[in-house]
Amino acid sequence: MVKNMSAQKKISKTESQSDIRMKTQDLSAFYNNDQALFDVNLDIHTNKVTALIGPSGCGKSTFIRCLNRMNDYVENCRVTGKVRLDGFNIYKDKVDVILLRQKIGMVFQKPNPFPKSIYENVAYGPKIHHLVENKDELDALVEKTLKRVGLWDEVADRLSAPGTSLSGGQQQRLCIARAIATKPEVVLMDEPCSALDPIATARIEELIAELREKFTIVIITHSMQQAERVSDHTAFFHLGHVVESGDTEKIFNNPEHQRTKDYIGGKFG
Amino acid sequence: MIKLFERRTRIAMDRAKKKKGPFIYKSYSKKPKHRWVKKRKAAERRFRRAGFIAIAISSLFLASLVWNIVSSGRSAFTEAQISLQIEFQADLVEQGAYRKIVQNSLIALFPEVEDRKEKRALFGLVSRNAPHMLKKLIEENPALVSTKKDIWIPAASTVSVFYKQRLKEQSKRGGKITASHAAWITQLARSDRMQLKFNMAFFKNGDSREAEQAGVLASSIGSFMTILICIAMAFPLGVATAIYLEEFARKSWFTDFIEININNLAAVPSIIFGLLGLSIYLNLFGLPRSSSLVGGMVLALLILPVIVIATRNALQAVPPSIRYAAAALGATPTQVVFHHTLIYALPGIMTGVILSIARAFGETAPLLMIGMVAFVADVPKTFVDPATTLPVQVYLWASNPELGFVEKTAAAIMVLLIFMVLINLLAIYIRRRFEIKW
Amino acid sequence: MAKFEEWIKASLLACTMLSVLVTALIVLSVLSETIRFFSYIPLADFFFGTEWSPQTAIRADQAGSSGTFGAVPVFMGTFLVTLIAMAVAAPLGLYAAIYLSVYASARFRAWAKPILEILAGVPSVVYGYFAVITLAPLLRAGGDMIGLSIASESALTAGTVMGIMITPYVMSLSEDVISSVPKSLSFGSLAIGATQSETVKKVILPAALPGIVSALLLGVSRGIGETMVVVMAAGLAANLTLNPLASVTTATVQIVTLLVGDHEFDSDKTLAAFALGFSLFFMTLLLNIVALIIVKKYRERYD
Repeated sequence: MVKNMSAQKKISKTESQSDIRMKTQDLSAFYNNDQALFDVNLDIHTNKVTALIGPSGCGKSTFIRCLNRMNDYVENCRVTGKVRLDGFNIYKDKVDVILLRQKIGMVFQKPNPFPKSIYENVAYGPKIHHLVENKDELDALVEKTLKRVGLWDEVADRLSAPGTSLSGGQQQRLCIARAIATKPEVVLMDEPCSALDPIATARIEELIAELREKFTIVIITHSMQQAERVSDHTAFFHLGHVVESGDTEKIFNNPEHQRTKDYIGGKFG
Repeated sequence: MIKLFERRTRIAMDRAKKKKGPFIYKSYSKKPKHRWVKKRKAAERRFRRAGFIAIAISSLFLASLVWNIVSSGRSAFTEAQISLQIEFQADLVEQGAYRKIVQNSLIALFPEVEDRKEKRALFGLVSRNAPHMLKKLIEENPALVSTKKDIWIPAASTVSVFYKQRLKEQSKRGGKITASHAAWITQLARSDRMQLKFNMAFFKNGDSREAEQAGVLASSIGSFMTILICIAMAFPLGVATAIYLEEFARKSWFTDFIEININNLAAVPSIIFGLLGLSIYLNLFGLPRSSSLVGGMVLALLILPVIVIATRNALQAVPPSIRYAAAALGATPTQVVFHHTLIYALPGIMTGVILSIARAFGETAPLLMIGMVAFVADVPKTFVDPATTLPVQVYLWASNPELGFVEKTAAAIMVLLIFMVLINLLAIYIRRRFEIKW
Repeated sequence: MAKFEEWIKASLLACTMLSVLVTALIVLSVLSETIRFFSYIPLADFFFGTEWSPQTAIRADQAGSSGTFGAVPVFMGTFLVTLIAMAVAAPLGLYAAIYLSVYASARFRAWAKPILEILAGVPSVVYGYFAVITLAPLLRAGGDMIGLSIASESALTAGTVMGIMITPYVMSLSEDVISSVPKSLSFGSLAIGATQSETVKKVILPAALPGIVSALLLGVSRGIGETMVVVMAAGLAANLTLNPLASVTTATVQIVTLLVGDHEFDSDKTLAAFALGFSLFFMTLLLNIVALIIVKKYRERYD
């Protein structure tokens, strides 16, 4: 449904914007009376990795939760402004958040697999969204997804083992598999590597590079090096404002703002 | 100055060596202070000991409780039987005068008894159920008519208690019993006409006026039927309430009110629930008195708040990240709850529910209010039949002064406690086996 | 789909409302009978009268056809038995809780806690049996030895057994409270060289005091409402006395005796049971609410 309407909208937009998958317009967020985001305008490009960087408490997590309306679950959180997915505002009343979240997957900071089997973890999304017709299709989808995240070889012989029995890095890849199994357009990742060791982190970073071909990825990271390695675009958040955004190369090598320079240079963090 | 200090130290060391053991004067503090330390350490030891004694007293009490019940209840699992040579005279069988048959065989054993009063005492040796037993025998096997046969007949409960105690203590002392009874029992025992048998009647019968015939079957079945009703009502209601409050309700004055309400309900004395059952179920709805249906409904109200609280705690233990993960996949709120939160909380919920059932199982007071204290000899067949429960049976027998019922009470308590232990073990098993650690 | 969701939510809400209705029903049913009782018997007579003999005569025209319903001796008996129970349960429970949370090794805890939990799970009718069969004769024999005459249904017997029964309850509540005192507080005390007992007495207990008070209040509320132990071990006659060796009766005992076996429902006698029940309900409710408020205040201080 979202896709159809957006297709019509897309035509009316200028052609040059067609590679913009998501776009926020004057997005502000409030917790009670404290404003956490101030009129954020940011473009998220199709099949590109957008990294969000900035010091703790700068609003990155609030922002990413705005993108799939997970803020609905945060008590006392109020959002104003627009978030467009393919040109279509997801904050309109008639938007079905259920379908929206099928289109926009999310991976969390700490691996949080369901305490069900590995198979069930991946199969759960396709099942509730009725993406498959029968068991064979589901099996195929689970296998394909697990292969895509590079987990298939490790778990093929114990698909019925609980997801929580995997190592931290495997759990996080399982969570990514769970998120992409519903065939989303955008995958949001909220510091997916912060709870992992360097080897597992490297594995996830490789995976992100592979997934880029298929999905649009937004990733929050605390590691400057990681942002530089994996992302095409970078947005620097500070105190609820986007200070600067653009090509990663440009932000890291030739930032316009002094604050960006200071942060990247490690002057504050 | 320094020399003086050294000398003092040496003196102290010498004195300590002379007195006892190694020198403990480690600090440089002067003596009075040392005494303070000693005092403080003594206070510490006293305090610690007091704590230990408190636990010891409680454990000791548990031990004496168990020992007491087992030692006085153990004997109820056996019964004394007397071997009588029964002559099934055809005319008596025809008349159905089985009592006479029993009496004849007793007189045949003790021909010297002449006095009417003495005779009645003699007939009191065997259970009053004996004629009934013989009747059954004849019905099963009519060929017995006009034959003579040695048959083991259950003794009366006083005889049984006396015999068992004598066997145990190897002395003349026993339960309260008349001198002539004691003499007869000695005589019977000497001629090998007495034996101890496992008391099947205790597990096969309902309540009875005769202690030797009284059993726990009817009350156990009554207990289970009551608990069944209780679960059927309290489990869905309690879990649904908890789910609504924990997962769907927005926080408002109304949910606060419900929360306070339920927390307080959990601490209302159980007897008040009996009053509620009496005035609402019995008088307003006109449901049948003494039935397991009403009993179960009263107990359901009693454990409802406990179930709500346990379920909420179990739901709260499921981390929010799981809910977010499911929601981020596009699960609807009910899908989040019924596919994930509830499933993962289920072991915790079950543990709480089972423990609350254990509580309901041992509850007595509210059932007294709705008339479950009635004398129930038959196993209840439907939920509206008069029934009693195991703890109520314990209460009834405990208030019966007859000697035979004392051991029956303790034995019924043993059965009750065994059920309680089983229920608790089940809860522990579920917790150990299924609970998800986050 | 959406309809289904709404339907589930509505049915869950209905269950919640039903649960709330239960509370309302309790209060209303007991209250309405109580009001009926007070339409026969004046309020002042019930709460200030010192004579309790609810057994009405068989024929209406006989002298003393209406019993007297002065509840003071009944409440006094409840008070006395509960007091004795708390005199047993408070020190035992508190010391046990302190020992378990401060001194006990992990292995000792692993043994001691289940034992005390078993004690908490034993049905009260079993305690009642124990009081009648074991403790009452024991106390009477002991009293005879030192020249005291102890009634076989003395308040002391019932109170002691009830106290043992409440001990694990008081213990687990106070243990929760004690272990919720921040470790940094006791470390601060231990670091300046205080002994464990000094730390407990000077730092932990004062900090945990509100919680412990509320644990004791909940214990009292349990004692007031306890039925089986007193039905079996305490007396029936309402004596206005504070002598723990004498036989007293309690509110719960009176409720049971007034209502058990009585099918008729409109006499002063049965209604008096409801008046007693409502007073019990009100008292325990008050104690619980006070305890909850104290605990809530206390939590706020450390969270």
